[in-house]
Amino acid sequence: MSFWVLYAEGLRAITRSKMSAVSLAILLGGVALFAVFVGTYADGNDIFLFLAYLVVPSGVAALAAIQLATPRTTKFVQAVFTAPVSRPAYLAAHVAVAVTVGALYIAFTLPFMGLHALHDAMPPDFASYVAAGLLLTLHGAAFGTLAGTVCTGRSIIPAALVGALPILLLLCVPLVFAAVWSWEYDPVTGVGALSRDSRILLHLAHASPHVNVMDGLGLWSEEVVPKQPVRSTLWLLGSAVGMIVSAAWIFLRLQGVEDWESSGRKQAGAAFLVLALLAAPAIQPDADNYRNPEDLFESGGYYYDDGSRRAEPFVVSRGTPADIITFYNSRWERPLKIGAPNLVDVVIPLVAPDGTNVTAVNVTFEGVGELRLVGLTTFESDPWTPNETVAYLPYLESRKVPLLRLPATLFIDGSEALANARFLVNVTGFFTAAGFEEPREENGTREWVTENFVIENQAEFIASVPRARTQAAAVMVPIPLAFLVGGIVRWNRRR
Amino acid sequence: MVRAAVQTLKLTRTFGTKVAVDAVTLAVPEGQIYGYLGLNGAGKSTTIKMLTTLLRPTSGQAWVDGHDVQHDPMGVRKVVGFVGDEGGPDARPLWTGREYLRHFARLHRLASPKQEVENVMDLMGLEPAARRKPISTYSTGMKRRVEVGRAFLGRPRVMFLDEPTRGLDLPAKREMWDFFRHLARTEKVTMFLSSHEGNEIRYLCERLSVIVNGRLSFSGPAAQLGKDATTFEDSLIRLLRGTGPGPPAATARTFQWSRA
Repeated sequence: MSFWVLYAEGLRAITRSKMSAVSLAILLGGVALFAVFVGTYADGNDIFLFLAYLVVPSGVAALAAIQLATPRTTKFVQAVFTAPVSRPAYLAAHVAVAVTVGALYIAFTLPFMGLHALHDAMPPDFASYVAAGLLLTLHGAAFGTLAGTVCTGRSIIPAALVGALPILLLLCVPLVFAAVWSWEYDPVTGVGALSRDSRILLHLAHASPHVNVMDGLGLWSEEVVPKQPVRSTLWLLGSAVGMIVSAAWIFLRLQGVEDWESSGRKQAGAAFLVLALLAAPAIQPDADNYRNPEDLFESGGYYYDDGSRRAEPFVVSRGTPADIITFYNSRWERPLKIGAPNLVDVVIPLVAPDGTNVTAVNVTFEGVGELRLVGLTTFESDPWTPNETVAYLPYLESRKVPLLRLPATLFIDGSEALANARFLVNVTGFFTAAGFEEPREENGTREWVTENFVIENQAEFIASVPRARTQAAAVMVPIPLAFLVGGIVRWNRRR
Repeated sequence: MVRAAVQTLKLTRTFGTKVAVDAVTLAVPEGQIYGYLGLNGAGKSTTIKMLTTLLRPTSGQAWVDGHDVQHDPMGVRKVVGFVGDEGGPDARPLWTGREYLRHFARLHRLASPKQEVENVMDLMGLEPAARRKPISTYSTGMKRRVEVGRAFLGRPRVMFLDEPTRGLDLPAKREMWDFFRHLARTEKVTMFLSSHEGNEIRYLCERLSVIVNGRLSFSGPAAQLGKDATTFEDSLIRLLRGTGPGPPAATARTFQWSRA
């Protein structure tokens, strides 16, 4: 029973002071503004998802640390623990409050994603990002509890600083990219290798809960592949459980109500334990994300130079080897206009086996939702002769693949579309490649073969509608605004 | 036979090599206001913290209302009220007095916390307008009243009061003293009072103990220290300094002016 009373009181305390309400208004308002003005569909790189589900939930650690340390620094615990309050229940309630606050925050973001789903496709990996947010919330609550337990004394600052460590560990995310980019593949055998320094870098990066969460849920871009994603998640969860158990052991066994009641050696050991548990995932044996050689060209991009600027990879091919990649070309003026024709080139590299020639192409295009393609529904040509080629990989300049370029007019009837929403074009079909097969071992003869390659992909286009911001604001702003008004009203009422 | 509300047996607490409380043995009869005196750092607060389960004893035993402080801390917490020299309402300056008390009323799991809080605030003389204001706007006296009210919320059988009237003006002190007397007489609440103020001890306490450097140097009826204020204080000072009971005449004259 004591747990539930303390849990309810902990939640009450979050909004009890005017400063809490205003702080929440500022935090949630920041996320809301980011959603409205940047948004998932606007950035094209999931920046909102990264901020909303990887950055903000890390703040739970600082919250948990401060919530646990403050009553000790202010001696409020003297009043609490002379009431019928059990210490295990008190600690458990603190953890539960931190987790609840994190979960409520994630619930706060869901209407925005619901709006997104209503108008457009759900952002890629959205469910994974939500799961990541929850995992980071759990980890943050565990770490913050441990930090808040260990950092006793007259000042709240040490607890707050240690509690903020997980946010700093976000810096490990670019380290993984740096390490992965140092993978080098033999262009002939395809065998890759990671340098020793990069291997160490990767291990260090895995001290970050974000890196482990991104490993486990596949939140890296395609070229970064964790070897053992499940194990990364287990290391993270194990670390979190270890932190909670350690916090409970320290709080209940080594400490009294107000402060340490054990020797300096044990205190130093406990402090070491905190850092060890935080860094524990760094020693996991599978901290060796690699760069998927099958996706190499995708991450490198087709560097198609039209004389003025470079075209960027446009469509992500997930899962299977990206034999086909569709990308948008230099006539693209983003964002596309709504209710008006947009002249574009749809560009498809046709990656046929080395030494073969593409002899025929048959592709069908279909706009999804409110996107119509005018003048381009099917392209069929047999025989087909390529007019231009593109380097298969930036690193393999010698290998050129034919390029199919098709001028088209896109027309978006996007009256209900959100700002900078992504519109999809389904690209399906096949191309035929012909050439001599590899010489046979027994007699060295070669046969002329013809083979069809499936084209199945989606292209994305981005369009803009002003009403979208209003709609996004309608679902995101009321809650932070309510906190702000509540804080002000509360302040005025008490004066 | 009078039952002991608080009892200790060789209660000891050390911090590293320092012995803060050294084998203290005492018994506080039920329903009494018991004075516990000592100079700063003598071990008063450490003793009180051990008796209220805020600090673990290094050795020895203690019982509060029959509950062992080491083996039944929850039992102790159910029957004690504690007014400390730190923390209290100052730790929650942005809460209102009402919110502060309701928080603890719920921790005590009182049947009707809202009504109980209003009753306590009435009892403590906290004006209705002040009840909904942040504690940061309260005077020292108001904060002490809130704190004493908080300690009284669970209708404790034993109250531990560590300098409960510090910072109060004289009328407020008198009101508080009368309140403590009322609780002891009518509600049979035992008071374990730590104070630096001779007048307060003399006015309230029937028995007292004096602790010097962690050891009890005196336990007995308060009246034993002298009937008039000067004699009482002089005896007390000698006890606190560890020089034994008895009012030296010169000191008594020195303090004559303060009674005028």
